[in-house]
Amino acid sequence: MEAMEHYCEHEQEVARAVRTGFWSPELREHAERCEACTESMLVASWLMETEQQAEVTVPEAGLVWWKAERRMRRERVERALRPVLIAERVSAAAVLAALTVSAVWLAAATPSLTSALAGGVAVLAISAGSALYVAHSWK
Amino acid sequence: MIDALTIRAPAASDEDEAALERFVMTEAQFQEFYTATARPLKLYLSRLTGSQTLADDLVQESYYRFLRAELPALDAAQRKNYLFRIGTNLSRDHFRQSKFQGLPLEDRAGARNIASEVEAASDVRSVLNEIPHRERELVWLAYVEGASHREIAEVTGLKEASVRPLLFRARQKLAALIRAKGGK
Repeated sequence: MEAMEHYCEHEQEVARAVRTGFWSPELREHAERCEACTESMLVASWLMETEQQAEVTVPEAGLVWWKAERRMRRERVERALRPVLIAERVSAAAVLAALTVSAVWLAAATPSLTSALAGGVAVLAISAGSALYVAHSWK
Repeated sequence: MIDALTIRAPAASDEDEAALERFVMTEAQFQEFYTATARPLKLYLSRLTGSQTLADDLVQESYYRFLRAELPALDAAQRKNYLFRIGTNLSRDHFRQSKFQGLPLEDRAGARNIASEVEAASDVRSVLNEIPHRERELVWLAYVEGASHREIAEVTGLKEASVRPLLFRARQKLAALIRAKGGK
């Protein structure tokens, strides 16, 4: 069965007293006989002890600032290049659509099978070349 | 209030675009803010994630997001709460992502670490890793950072009324673990 939840309005004061080391006699007396405050005292003391013992190294503020500036510049460049990339993709799609229409038209308009095949191969080669060029430029 | 803060929306005009190129504070102001907050933030994130390396990355990311955010006038405590909120969310994202991808979680790996097992009674990580991520957030903010229930609600995104029962359960679990490990 789950234990009944027991709160005390002095818990935060007790936690503060553990952090600051300042105990009023009344609070100390209360904490010793209140179950919730005793538990708060245990947890707060344990956490504070571990916090004080922890060896924490942080980079210099200047380094963090420099990295942030560098990243902001990089994102600015990426934002500026975004319309160019979109234009490239749209152009590539338009070229491929035009080539497909041309291939269909060429096949229908040319009576000779050889000419149609040659035309088809040429169109496919141009399409493949364009696609490769665009794919390479995206990289 | 933190709830009133909004992250800058994508730029709609040249003027907005130019505003995006600025940080929320100058380098001198940042130095002062960083000096006051970096150590507690790093410690908080390393306790949440169980990894110093990951905490380093999250600290850098937290400050970057803070610098790029659009903030109304905030006092020092509110700025710190906002920074901790960013860090908390980043840590949760990492935790969810690791779980989703089925990768070993940093903190679970930490708990399995042999050295940690040897020092089980005194190693903070091994004890803290036994309670859920959100409970770690609550106890750390309440007992180390000395945050009020309202501030904890701001940092964690919980309702203020929910903080008390959740914190109670977290504290109860942690106290039992500390006693079991012979902490006191």
